[in-house]
Amino acid sequence: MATSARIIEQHSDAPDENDSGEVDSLPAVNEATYANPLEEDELETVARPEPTGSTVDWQGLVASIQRGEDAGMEELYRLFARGIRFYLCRQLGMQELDDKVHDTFLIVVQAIRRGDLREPDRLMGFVRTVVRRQVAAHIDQVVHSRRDEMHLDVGVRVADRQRNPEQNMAYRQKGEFMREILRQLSERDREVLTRFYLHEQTQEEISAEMNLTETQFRLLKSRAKARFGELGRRRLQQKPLVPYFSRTSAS
Amino acid sequence: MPALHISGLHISDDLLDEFVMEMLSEQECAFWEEHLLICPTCQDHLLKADEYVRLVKCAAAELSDQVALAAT
Repeated sequence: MATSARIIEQHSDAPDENDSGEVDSLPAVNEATYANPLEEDELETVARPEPTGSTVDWQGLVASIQRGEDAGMEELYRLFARGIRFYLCRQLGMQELDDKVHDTFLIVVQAIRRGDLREPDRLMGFVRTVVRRQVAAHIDQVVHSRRDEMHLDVGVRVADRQRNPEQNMAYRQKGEFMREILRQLSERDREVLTRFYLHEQTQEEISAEMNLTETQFRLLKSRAKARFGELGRRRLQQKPLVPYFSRTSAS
Repeated sequence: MPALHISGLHISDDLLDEFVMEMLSEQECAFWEEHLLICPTCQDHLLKADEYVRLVKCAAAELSDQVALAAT
C-alpha cells in the first residue's frame, strides 16, 4: 500500500521521559506572550493558522523561541493554540482547559529552550507528544483520584460532554434523524453501517463477509451521511428557530 | 493508507470516521494528529465526525435492540 513519506518518519525528537508535565520544576519563562489563553468555548476566536506545516519555517521559529524573542512565542501560539486547545478539550473536556493549554505551552517552550528539540522540522510531532502526555497524566490523576475516593476501579473517560438544554434537545433530534435514516435503509445496508459503526468491524472484514467492493462500502457510508445532513437541513427549514445543526466547540 | 485518503490538504470523511473510531495505525494516527494540531478546517470536521459516529452508534444499537426484542 502507498504510504506518505511523512507517515513513516519516527519521532526522534520526542521529549525525554522526564520532561512530561512537571510544570512546577521548570524555570520561569516570559509568560506574557501566551499567558492570556483563549476564552472558554471560543475556539473560533483564534486566528486560523496555515492548514499544513509545509509552509512554516520551523527552524526559524525554533531558533526565535530559543533566543527568547516575543515574535517566536507569538508565532508558536498562533500556530498551535487552537489545535492544543482543541485536542485537550476533545480528550478531557472543558474543565480547567485554559490552565491545561497554558501548562502545555510552558512545557513546549521550556523544552525548546533547553534544546530538547533536536530537529526543528519535527516541532509538530514534538508538540503532539507533549499534549498526549498532558492528557495521559491528567487521566492518570483522575483515575487515581477516583480510586482513592471510591475504592473502586473506574474507566478512563474523563471528558465532560455537558450540554445545555437547547443542545440536549438538538442532540436528541439528531438522534431521531439518525434512527429514521437507518430505518429507511434496506436491511443489508443497515447491517453494513451497524457492523462498521456499532460493532467496529473494519471495512476489509465487512467487505469480505458481505461481498462488497470498497467503492460500494464507501458509497453506502457517504450516502447515509449525506442523507443525515439533508434531513437535518430540511427540518431546519421547517423549524428555523431550532438550531439542529449549530456547531458548538464543546460538543 | 493516508496518502490515498488526503482530500486536497485535509483529512477525508472516510478517514475521519476511522480516526474517531480509533481504527488507524499508530503511524496514521500520529500523522493526522499532527495535522489536526494546526488545521482548523479538519478540527471542525472532526467535531462533526465525533458527533456523527456517536449518533450512528446509538441509533444502530437502539434499532438492533428493537429487532432482537421483536424476534423474541
